[in-house]
Amino acid sequence: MRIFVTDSLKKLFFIDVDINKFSIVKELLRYYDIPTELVIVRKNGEIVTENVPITEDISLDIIRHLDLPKLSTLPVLRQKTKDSIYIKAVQKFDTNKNKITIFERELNKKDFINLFENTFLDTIKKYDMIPKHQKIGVALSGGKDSVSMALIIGKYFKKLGNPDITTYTLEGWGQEQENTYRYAREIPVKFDFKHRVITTEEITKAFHLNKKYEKVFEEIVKTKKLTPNEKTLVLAQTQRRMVEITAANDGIYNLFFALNKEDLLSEVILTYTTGHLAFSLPVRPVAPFTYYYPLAFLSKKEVAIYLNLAYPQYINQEPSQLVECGSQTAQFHIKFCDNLFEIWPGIEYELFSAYKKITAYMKDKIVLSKCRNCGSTLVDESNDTSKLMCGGCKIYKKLGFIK
Amino acid sequence: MKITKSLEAVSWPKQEKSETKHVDVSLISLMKHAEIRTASEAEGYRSNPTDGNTRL
Repeated sequence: MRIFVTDSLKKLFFIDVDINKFSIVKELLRYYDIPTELVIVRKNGEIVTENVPITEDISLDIIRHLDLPKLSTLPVLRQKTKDSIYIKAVQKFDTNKNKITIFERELNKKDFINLFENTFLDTIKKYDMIPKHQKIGVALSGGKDSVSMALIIGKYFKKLGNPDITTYTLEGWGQEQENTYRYAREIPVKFDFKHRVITTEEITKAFHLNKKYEKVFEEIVKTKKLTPNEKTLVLAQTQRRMVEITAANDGIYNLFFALNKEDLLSEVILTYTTGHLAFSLPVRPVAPFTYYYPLAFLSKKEVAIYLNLAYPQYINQEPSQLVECGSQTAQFHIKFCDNLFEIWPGIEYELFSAYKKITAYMKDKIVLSKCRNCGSTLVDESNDTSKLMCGGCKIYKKLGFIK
Repeated sequence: MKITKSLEAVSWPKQEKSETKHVDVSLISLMKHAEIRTASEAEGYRSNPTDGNTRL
């Protein structure tokens, strides 16, 4: 069946449609990468929605002076490789030639491992993530991201200048037999890193909780008084703050966290959709600490493939309890980022570059204060004195675990 | 109203896919490309601060 498309200059196109492939116009538009907001769908000349079935009397009007046929079919220049397992894509803009091209490189197993490790090492180098003669703390939960981070640091220890590394893991109460916790204990031994297990007693003490943390954790996971957002916030905040407190006791203020590309870019999206003040990425100075995110240019999928190929003995992590109480909004942000990479492959390089400039302007606007309960650094955006307690401790207070 | 002027119509294009010997996807080269592009776009904005993207 032939569908006609008229652009804003009255140029006429046709699309020969296999009606077995699509049932409604929206599916056809998606297939041809035509945004629904750029076309008016007509049936027998009358405006209809894109949800109507495809019939011979359907036509499409492009409503802007865009060269949509070209924009929806950007040329692809690909380096082919035998036995490829992954395609690294990036969209490049040649403003002089007024041309956008998608570059794709197919990677086989060996190429993939090289690219992954080099991206990690180049991120550390480019952002000076291992300052000379300074101790580094590495948050190691045993999950895929932190395991990859610790393994590459271990593998390239000499190349990184023999840094003074200490890994930090939260005690796995009742989970001692689980793989995730086992990996977190094994890897520091493998590379002879100093390793520190943070106990639940230390958490109870640091947050001044009136019950043992094991009990508090159990109640938080089960309670219906908290939203999934609040549950994620309090558990993640507790983990992060405990790494900070323990590392500071060891005289360590440079902390490596294994947040990946989507984790970090979803925060960039959050900044742009809320307008809140934010610190820079992928190096984040939160006095007195500096956080480093060496997985900033690597996606979750890349991390998963890397471990599968390079260290298959470390891929059987149990699902985190945080996942079960995960916030739908946070999950949407992650998915949105992955959708975005499909529309504009390589946008992360531009977003991080822009974010660095924008957060530099914000830097002087940020007023820091401290949580009166756990001592965590806060960004004080308002005059509200209740802000003097961090989000995590406010939740502990709400549930009656602290005064 | 059914469009019948099919003789004047041209086919919606297909994506042009070609091969090349080498595509550089190293972090440093991609960062460099992003820096050049953002600088050039920023220049355009400085020249026309009411509308960073020329209206179409």
